[in-house]
Amino acid sequence: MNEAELLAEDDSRAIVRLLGEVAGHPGDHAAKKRHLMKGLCRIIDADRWAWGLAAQMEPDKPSVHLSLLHGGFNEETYAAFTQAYNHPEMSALHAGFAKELGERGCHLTRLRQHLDPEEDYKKTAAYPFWKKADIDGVIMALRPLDATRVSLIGIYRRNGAGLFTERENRIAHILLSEVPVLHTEGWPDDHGITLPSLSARQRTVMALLVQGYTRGGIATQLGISPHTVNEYIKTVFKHFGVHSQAGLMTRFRRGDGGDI
Amino acid sequence: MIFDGPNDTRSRPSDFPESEIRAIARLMGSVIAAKGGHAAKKRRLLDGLARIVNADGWSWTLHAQPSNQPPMLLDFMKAGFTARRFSIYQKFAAARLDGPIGTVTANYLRELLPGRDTGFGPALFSSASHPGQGSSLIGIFRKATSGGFTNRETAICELVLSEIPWLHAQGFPSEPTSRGRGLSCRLAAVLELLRKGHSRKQIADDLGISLNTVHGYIRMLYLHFKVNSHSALLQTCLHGDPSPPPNERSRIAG
Repeated sequence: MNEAELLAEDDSRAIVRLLGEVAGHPGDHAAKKRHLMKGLCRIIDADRWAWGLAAQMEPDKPSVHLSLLHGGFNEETYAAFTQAYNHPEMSALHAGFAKELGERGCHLTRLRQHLDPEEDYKKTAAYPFWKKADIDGVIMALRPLDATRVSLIGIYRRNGAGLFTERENRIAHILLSEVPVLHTEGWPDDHGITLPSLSARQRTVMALLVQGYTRGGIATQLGISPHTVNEYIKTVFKHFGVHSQAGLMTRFRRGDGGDI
Repeated sequence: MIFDGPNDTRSRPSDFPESEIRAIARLMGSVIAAKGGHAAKKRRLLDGLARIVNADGWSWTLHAQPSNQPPMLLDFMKAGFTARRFSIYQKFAAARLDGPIGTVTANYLRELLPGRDTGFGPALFSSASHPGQGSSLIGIFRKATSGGFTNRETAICELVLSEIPWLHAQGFPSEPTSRGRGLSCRLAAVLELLRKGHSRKQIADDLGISLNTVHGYIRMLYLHFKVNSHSALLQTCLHGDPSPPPNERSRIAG
């Protein structure tokens, strides 16, 4: 970013005001994250957001991440979003970003136009899920936390409302890159490092279970039979050594002190 | 709280270099990460702001302005002042509350306070009014021998001091303040200073009243909260962490 760049007064004021609110927010880290994301979405006219951890960011391996906090989704769009980001055909599109992150080792914020200038994602089988999630404009922010964890934030805009601009990307970058404590704190002890050994479909089921979807809800959203869902759930429970959905949810909410 | 528009006798470029916004955002990141309640975070923020604009001290004062009486100091925080110099400044701060709201550049404190030595020269002020409570004044200062604040430094202070209302206030919006507990101005002031760890003698000096009067107020506070001891009083009304006890000669941290 060019040091001589100027930020418009309105944007500058909005950034400082929002950070002041987050500093004065009475809640725990999850609540502060939510307030920050809600405020950011208001400033740059975004509709949805998700904040989670990436368990696998090596460019030559399939990308694996788990969204833990989110806003602006309903039951249907969130399930579609989960299927979209877990889709195997998305890995190739993330490879470049993952490589840059590995080389530079610092917080990066990118527009979808930067990462996928030819809109190759529209040619993948993941595209119908992005449409169903009502997501067109995307800003992605990645911040390496340590050798094994990457904090991952997606900011999304609905279909038909235009893509995010450089100005909006810059605002997101300033707001998200200068609050390191929100990236490092408030995560569950389980960072999802073992996720890569699950299949994409298993990871999708697991992500929905963690968010409290019922078995019937998962079957409906994924368009599969309840029997198939149960098989996936059995595998997921065994993988994490839990015996119930409640156990799984506790595993991925512990360390947060509050509701994800 | 009421802010009027910025009171400009100076021209102010409307855009901000990104590096300045990043510096402010980085400071806010450290305030978000900091432990402690409102007072600790206010101190950290104002220390950091002073560092960004190369200032040597700062103060926040809150005065009640009852009708037909002189303004009463309710609460304050400071850095870079000796106790004696602060009591000189504090009387000026009370008088300044009738002045314009918003950030203004003062030429030099010694021009505003002829013949009195506060140790400081160039100053920036930001005031705010708190309906039902009083008025606050935040000052950012440099030593008397220093050059004046630049337009950029002034713009940075104006941005931070106008966009973060809890800097002017006595607590975060979610917290009840002493005032809201049905106490008079003066009792609320004494309670607040006790909560911050001031001794009775210090309170007497800060508020410009006798030690006996302070004893009397504290007895009234015990009655109000139905307690019998100092520790019980603090326990009853503790909300958030108290700021560290004031030093005779506080320095900007870091």
